[in-house]
Amino acid sequence: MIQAAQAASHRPESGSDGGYAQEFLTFTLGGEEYAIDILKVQEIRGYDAVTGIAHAPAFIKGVINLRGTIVPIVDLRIKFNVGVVEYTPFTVTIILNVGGRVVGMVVDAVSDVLALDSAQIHPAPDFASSVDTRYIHGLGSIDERMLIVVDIEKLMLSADMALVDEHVH
Amino acid sequence: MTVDMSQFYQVFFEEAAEHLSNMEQMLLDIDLDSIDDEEMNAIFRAAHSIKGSAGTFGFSDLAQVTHELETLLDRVRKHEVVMTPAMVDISLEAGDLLRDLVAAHRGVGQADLQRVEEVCAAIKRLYCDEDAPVVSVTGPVAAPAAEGYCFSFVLPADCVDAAGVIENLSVELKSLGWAVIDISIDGSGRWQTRLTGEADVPAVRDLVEFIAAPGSFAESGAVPSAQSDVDGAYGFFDDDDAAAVASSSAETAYGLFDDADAPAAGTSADNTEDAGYGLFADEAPAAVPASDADGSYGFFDAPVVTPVVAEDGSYGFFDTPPVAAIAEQHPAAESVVPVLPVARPVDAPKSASTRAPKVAAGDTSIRVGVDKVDQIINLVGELVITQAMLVSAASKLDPVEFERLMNGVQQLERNTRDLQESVMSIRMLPMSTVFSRFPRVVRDLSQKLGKQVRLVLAGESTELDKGLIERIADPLTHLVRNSLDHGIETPDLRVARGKPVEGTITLKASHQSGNILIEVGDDGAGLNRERILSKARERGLPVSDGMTDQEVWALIFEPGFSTADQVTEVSGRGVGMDVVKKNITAMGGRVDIESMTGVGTRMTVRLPLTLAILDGMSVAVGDEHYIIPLNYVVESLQPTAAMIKSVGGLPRLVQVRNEYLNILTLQDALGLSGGTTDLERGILVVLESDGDKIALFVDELVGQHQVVIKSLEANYRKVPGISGATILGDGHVGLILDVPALVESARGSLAAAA
Repeated sequence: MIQAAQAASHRPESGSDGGYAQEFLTFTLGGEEYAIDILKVQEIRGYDAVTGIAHAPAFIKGVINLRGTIVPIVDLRIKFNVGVVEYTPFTVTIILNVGGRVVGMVVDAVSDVLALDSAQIHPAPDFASSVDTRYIHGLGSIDERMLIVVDIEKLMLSADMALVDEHVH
Repeated sequence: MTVDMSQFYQVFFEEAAEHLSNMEQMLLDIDLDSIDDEEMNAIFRAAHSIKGSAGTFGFSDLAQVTHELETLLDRVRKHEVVMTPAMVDISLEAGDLLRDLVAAHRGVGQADLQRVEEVCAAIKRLYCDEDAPVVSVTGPVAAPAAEGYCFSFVLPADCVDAAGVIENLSVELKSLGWAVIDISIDGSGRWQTRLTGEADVPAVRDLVEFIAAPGSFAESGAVPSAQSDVDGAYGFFDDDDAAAVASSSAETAYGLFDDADAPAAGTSADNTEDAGYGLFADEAPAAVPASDADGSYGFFDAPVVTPVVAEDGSYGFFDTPPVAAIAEQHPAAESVVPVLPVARPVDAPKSASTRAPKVAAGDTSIRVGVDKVDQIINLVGELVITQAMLVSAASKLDPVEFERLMNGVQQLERNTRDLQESVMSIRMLPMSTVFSRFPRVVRDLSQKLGKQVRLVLAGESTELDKGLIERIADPLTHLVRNSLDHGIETPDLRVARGKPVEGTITLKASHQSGNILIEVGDDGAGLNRERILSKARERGLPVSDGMTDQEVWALIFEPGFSTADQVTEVSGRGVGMDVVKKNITAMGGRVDIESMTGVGTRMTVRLPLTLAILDGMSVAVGDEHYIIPLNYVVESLQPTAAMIKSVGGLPRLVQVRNEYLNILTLQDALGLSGGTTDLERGILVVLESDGDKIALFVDELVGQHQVVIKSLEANYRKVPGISGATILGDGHVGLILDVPALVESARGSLAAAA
């Protein structure tokens, strides 16, 4: 959490070519680095004990009480079948605000806040992966790092995540 | 500089709505016999405020209607004209129109400009026709005994050939089978007409209305051969009385005007005397020829004859004690909201209004968005949780050493509880906010149906959560309409059954152990068991003659079920009762019916006090805690091996006293693990929903407390078997079980297994 706050404190300059730059929060899952639109992020917090929900898929850990709001928690590590699934005091939950809903997702670690302009994001080639390419906005490259830029709103509200009633979307 | 007014529209709409409902309330409450200047002023002010802001915002249609209304009210308030029921009616109608117009400006529906014109014209007619409503009639002028049907009318001002028109009228009347005895113009330009004959009155009326100035037709005399069994006539106009009562005994005549007694004694109607009343009598159907007319006083536009039985005597429109000695005491404790118009006796002692003046609460309130209140409620909820944490942390400390801290924590606990209660009470509204619409509903509907109904309200101060208040209004309206339409019999039928002519509908709200009870009662015909059963068979519902009354009554909540013989505008289409039940169930409440043939029906709606808080019993399965809404819990018991019966090798039934109940294991139902499976080591909670019982098997009972209901669906989705979530004392989320669904699933699984 602290790391993310520090990263956010030194605002990155706009993109090298002067084009439109967007800020992304990056996090790791297994060895992979993902980036999501920072404007969808409400807060980052530790992993609390969750209350399990009946008949929910395994990656939906349950719900937590976030200052009076009931927030479902998804473990992306289970969903994408990456990383080591363990819950320690250092396990991080990113609370997202997507489509008027508040949901939390458990990731391995939050690493950075970065600015990427459109030139730095390349379209992703079609490939088979646990993350459906429909939800991948593109692949960002900064130095030698490759960031998987995820359209988190689309992903979280998709039927795959089973977070919303089907008839809603 | 131009200011964008649209930003203020919302405020205007809200204000206008408030003024309109105030105005309607005051109009319904107004006592025509003793109009309080203060009341009149308040009504005027309401109209005036709407007009003012409508003008400011450029809503010219609103301004136009309110302007006319204001002019009328202004004249009344300055005592230039006397407030008449017709004026009350038109004001109410104007109020409805304004409401529609406001809605149209909000973007809901369409403004009906033609109606605007009509209403404006109607109001104008009332206040322009100055002479008409002034009640200053002197004694009867000697006149020939009126026999036959008398009426009067005014020819339109632009009528050129009056004589020709009148002659044509005479010819037409003759062709209808009437003989014209007398047709002459009186001093005020009214044509007084007297006919004899056996033909139908409505035809005459149509004919005359065709040629006469709009609204000027007035019937002044009654009936060929007034019946001797006339119970009493509460006419509006003295000559009405005179004629109607002519052949009945004088003591039953409650005349309007001082001179009424005289003609009642045997003199008959004076057809020149009604010159001034044309306006009120407007649409009054004459005391109907022959037949069973007990008396008639059509007041309002619906051509409805509403007979009155003399011995009942409870005909106070506005609680004014009626003239003669028949004053009947209304139950004092209940506020009687009069519904039907009844003659107001001028010669009655001007009684001081017996009703306590209503306290104006509006001036001391502020307008706050519900979301803000909800936010406060949430925050207080958080505070309560934090406080609980502090208490548990403090309990581990040494009470002697940390005495001051302990005291502080205790004080905090008290204060938070008080704070929570006060905040919750912000959302609570008195039932009167819902009840206040019913006088109007009943008044309009009873007129339409030709029934005479008194609405009794009780317990209006009972408070209910705002969310529930809003949602209960429609189902309640439906129940009231239903009672009025199907329950209360027509006046003749009521007389025939020896009941008071006036039916009574009772709306009563009260608290009962954490629930609110709303009763809709009527003293009507009651439900007809045979008819419901035969209707149910027709519809292919599984019924038997051995069903209890309770089960039979519950059938009316089946979709598409209606026992009304006729489909009316009001009800009978069979949509509704099922929706009523569904809505109420969705609010966590239920409806019960009690009915006795010939005595009446009572529907009792039982609702939780608030949607936000629920009395729950928490149970544990493994590590998880679940909340069972307490109103479903019948009992809890620890089963012994002897009580558990197996079916098909699996223990699925438990014998509780002499009932066998399905056992539903919560762990299986919710797909959990880690709980006890040994039935003898856990607890069975007997739950009842919709008359079905099951025994829910859980590990243990944890406790019983009030929980604040949170939506699970706001950020997640509907979970089968779970109705919502709450935050437990330790800050964790607890899930609330959806008992009806569980009961349903237990039945399903048994059926599947069988």
